[in-house]
Amino acid sequence: MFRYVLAKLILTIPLLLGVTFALFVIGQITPGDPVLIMLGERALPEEAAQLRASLGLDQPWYVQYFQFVGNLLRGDLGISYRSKLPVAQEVISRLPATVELASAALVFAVIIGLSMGIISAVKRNTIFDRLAILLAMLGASMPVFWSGLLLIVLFAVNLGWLPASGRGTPAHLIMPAIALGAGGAALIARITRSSMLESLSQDYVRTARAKGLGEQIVILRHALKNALIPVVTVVGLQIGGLLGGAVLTETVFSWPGIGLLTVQAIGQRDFPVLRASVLLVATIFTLINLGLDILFVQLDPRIKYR
Amino acid sequence: MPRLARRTFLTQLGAAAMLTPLLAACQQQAAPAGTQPSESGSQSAPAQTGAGTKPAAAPAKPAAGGELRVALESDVVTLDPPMFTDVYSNYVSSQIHETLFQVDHDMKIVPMLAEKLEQPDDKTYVITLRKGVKFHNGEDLTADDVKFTYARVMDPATKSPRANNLTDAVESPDKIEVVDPSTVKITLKGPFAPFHERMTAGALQILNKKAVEAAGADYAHKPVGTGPFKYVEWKTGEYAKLERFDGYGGEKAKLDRVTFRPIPDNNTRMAELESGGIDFMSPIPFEEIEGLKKAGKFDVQVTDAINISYMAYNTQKAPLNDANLRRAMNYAIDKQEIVETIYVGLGAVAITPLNPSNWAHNPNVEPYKYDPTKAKELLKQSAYKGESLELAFNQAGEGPKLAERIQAQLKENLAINLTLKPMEWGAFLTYIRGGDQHQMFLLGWSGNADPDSILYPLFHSKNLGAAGNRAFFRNDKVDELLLKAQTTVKQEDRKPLYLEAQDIILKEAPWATIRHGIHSAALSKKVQGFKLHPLNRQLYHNVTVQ
Repeated sequence: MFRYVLAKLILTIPLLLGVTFALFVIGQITPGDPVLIMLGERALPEEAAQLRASLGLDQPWYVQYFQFVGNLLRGDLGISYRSKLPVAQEVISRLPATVELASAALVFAVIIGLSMGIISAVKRNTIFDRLAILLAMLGASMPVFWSGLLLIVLFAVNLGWLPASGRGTPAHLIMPAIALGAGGAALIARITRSSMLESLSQDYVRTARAKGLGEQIVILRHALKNALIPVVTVVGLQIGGLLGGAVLTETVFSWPGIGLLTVQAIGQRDFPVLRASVLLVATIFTLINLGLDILFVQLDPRIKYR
Repeated sequence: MPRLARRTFLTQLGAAAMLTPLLAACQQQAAPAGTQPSESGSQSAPAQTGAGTKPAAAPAKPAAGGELRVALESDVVTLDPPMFTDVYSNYVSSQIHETLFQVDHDMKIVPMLAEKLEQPDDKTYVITLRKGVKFHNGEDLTADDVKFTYARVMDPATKSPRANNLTDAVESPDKIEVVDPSTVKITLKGPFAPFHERMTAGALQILNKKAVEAAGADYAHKPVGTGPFKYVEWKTGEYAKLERFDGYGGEKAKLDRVTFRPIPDNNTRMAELESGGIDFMSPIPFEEIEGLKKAGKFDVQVTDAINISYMAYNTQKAPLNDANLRRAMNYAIDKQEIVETIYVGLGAVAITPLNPSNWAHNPNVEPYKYDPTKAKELLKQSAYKGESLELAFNQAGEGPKLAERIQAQLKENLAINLTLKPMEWGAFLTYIRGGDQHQMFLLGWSGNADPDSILYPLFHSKNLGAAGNRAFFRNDKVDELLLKAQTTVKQEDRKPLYLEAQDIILKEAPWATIRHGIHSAALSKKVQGFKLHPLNRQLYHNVTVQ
């Protein structure tokens, strides 16, 4: 297993380099000049030229790319075009906020998704089941900038129970986590339901009931456990989705994480910040996938490391 | 590696999942105890060049003034004054730092850290500093700090994007001399009338030499100024917190604290205001102003801004190099209707690029009043052959609505087909810089008190393209007038030059001037003592929060 993990880790290096290369190419293709954006409506030629040179933007892009990779290998992510502050510090200081939001959203998605899925499967074709399916569809199809706003209007403006935006107390976390986790919850609920339905019709469930076990034990111990593998797969995939979805959620709720930083960096063409944020998220994503691979082996003894 | 039993593993996984939110919650609570006041909030007020307060003869006893929470549309970029170009950084920085002079509510340039200005000749500025002014670190303000600050802005190693505030007029840092601890003498390359106002620019906020040298590259997180509020903490993306500076040289601020919070989403910012999460926002999203006024829950302030929104023609590019075509379109646009419908009557139809309140505004130009008949006549006199034209604009904000209205009016009155090209801001700036791509575009300009800050960048041929003159307007007479006005010192001598320049600009019609805009702010009723400034300087000196 150690060799397996090591091999996977080594493979992430070309992957991340590929990500940075793609970012450079996209940066080249995208119209918009960081210098012009910084100087705004009044960009004097001398100042623009000086600024461009001082940011290294007067070099051809491939030269800039190799400089970037060289600095990266030395652990230097560069200086923000805009604030002239070190990028690494900025990006890393935003990471806890995003991790906090994504974990809270994941917990919400798993708890709500699993319980709704189980109850739906057990109470198949009842009003509750229909309602849960409807809710799941709503959750999956509502974009976060819409559902987030609805939450804000209801809980912050009308009821005054929760702060509308920002970070600081656990209360600040509730709405963003729900808005971000709703899609995942819906997906998990649907997968759990169908997986549960399948395992509830298996022989071992009938056997368990025949043994005279209580219904609760039958459902939770026997049916659910065997229904979990597809659910775990979906949960794993959700983590990536949550990191991506954080971009919108963080904007709606002014949540000071990587997503908000990324959006600002795109608007300003602040490429060093953008590269560092994307690189960080890509690294996390890769590591999570690796973690999932290991997890699957633990869950299902039939899967082997190769 | 020993294999975990599946059962154990799953149990642990479940436990970890349950613990995560708890851990997160604990971390959350630990942090705010030390650093976060009871409520989060943000306030925003744009100030480009210098915000502060006038010194008072006797320092008054500060009344307990509470905390003002201001919403910013976007985060502070840096708190190192020569390094920012955005208004929101200056909202915060101008509470911490002060400039030598400031522009008051009547658009007069008045002393701030300076006590007086003497000009032995047209190119020499002798500035006496106020006595007894202290920096937040306890140091006295001296002429050395002024020289240090200005020399730092001019130094190419600083890489200030706003160095031109000084380099336009001052040859080298040697020309900034310390006469005695409270007197600075600045000798310009030649007479340069806008220099007085340049000293109100945010980039020229006076810093403490010792503090800058001690902080090094980290100054943005360790700013030390003479302003009414001192720096507490800036957590990027989250908040910037300031507190009252009790050693302030003049009348102390009344507020205990000011907290700025970036809330980029318009709807969320409004919700924060409605739910009491913030006390102050400026500007108000346009479509919300009327509703907020009617609701009566907030103090809604609106004031005329020193700015201009315009549609420019690329005057070097056929068919728009034909002045008659440009004039025809100017007469075909109903600006009054635009102001009333798109801008719900807020702001004013622009006749010339200068606001009517500007001392150099020419009220006697022949305005482009809406006149479809005249427009048609002029179109006939032009060489225009019916080709469709393109109008580029920033897709955010009011651009799309304005563009659609103009498109409809030109179609109706002149049968001109306008192709609309909405663009993302960064792409748009690149598109209109070179002069070889764009035909027509919509843009705005914010000026200062001096007419030079508007007419020179926008119409002098030295500033073609990204420097401001994106209409690529070249007119020798206008060039001459604007340069002469810049190097003439007395206002009464400058005025006729600007009047004539406006006359020519209107006749040549490189632009359709559309509208002079407004600044707006919404304040919670708990907030007292704030008055919007024409340059949207954020002056919180007299503000209290109940």
